[in-house]
Amino acid sequence: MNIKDEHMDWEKEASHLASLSRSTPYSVPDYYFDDLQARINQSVFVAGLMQKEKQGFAVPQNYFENLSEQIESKIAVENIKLLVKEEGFKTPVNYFEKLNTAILDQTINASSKTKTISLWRSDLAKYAAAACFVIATATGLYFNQKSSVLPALTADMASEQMLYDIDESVIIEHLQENENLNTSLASDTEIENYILENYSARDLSNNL
Amino acid sequence: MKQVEDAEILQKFSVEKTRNEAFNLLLNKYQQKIYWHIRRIVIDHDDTDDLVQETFVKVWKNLANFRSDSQLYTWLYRIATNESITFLNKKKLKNNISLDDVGSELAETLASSSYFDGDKIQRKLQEAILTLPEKQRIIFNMKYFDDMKYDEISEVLGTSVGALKASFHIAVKKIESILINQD
Repeated sequence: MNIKDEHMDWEKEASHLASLSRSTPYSVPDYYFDDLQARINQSVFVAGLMQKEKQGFAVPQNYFENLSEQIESKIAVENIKLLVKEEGFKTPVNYFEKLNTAILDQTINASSKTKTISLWRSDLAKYAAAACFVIATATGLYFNQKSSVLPALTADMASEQMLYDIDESVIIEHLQENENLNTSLASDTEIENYILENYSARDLSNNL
Repeated sequence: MKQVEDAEILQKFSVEKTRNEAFNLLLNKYQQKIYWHIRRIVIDHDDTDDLVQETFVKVWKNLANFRSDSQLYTWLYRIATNESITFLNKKKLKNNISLDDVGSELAETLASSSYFDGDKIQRKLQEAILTLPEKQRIIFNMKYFDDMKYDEISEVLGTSVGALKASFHIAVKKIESILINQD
């Protein structure tokens, strides 16, 4: 079916309409089409620039995948807020007025009071306390070590002094006696016989 | 200026070096057809001017993806029609007007337009056209003023030829009736 045939269908039924001129009765400003092409080219150029500019922006990964869910959630929250206007929680009477005053007392109004600086809260006090503890511990350890060495040293010095004070002959004799005591364990009878043989009665009476 | 074939325009557009030349050939060939098509839909010249530019910006962006399974001519009309319908929908929302009132709003635009030089009968015809539903009006315009074939209009609007014929027939009867009764 060509255009003529297509038109014939309705031209028979709408003869009045078919008799009218089919030119469009609208007009355009003078010389409008002369520069339309140039203006379209400008629009294309600007659109290209805008597209390039948009390419500089980025969105977080999977942003658009979750966007619809986020929007739906937000709408749902807003709907809930509309349905349930109050949360149901209550505060004591004049709570917020008192809260306001309490906060102001602790903040702005507190600055006019005498300022108390806690010594223990300052860093300097902490470091000083730590230094004192270290010094005290070190001193204690030092003296403790020294006191365990001192008795042994004193005993040695006393022994040396005693040895210095005793006559050499007494020491030699004592050692010889000990030696004899160790080498021969004589019975009392043998000792008696030995004394009787080697010492006279006079010697014995003088010594005993 | 001699008008070139669509195939030549598309071939030149596919080459980076001749892309701008191809686009200018396309503008030269189709800008006025597209202008009048949009103008009949939105009536106002300034709105049409904006929409013509937006249409061709879209054409520039998407012409590289154009597949030759439809004609370039109908593809351009489809973009222009969609842009115009989108514009009217936005206008409805912005001015808070119902679908039925779009025609009367456009009739007011027509009445106040300084760019209308038709006679009394032509004005009456345009006013009668504006009483049609939006899609029927577009079909009528394409058939009556542009002499487009039904299968071309079908490509533009994505509507079956049968539905188009029926729609156009109803539109013709309604307009004829308005013209006769008001005479």
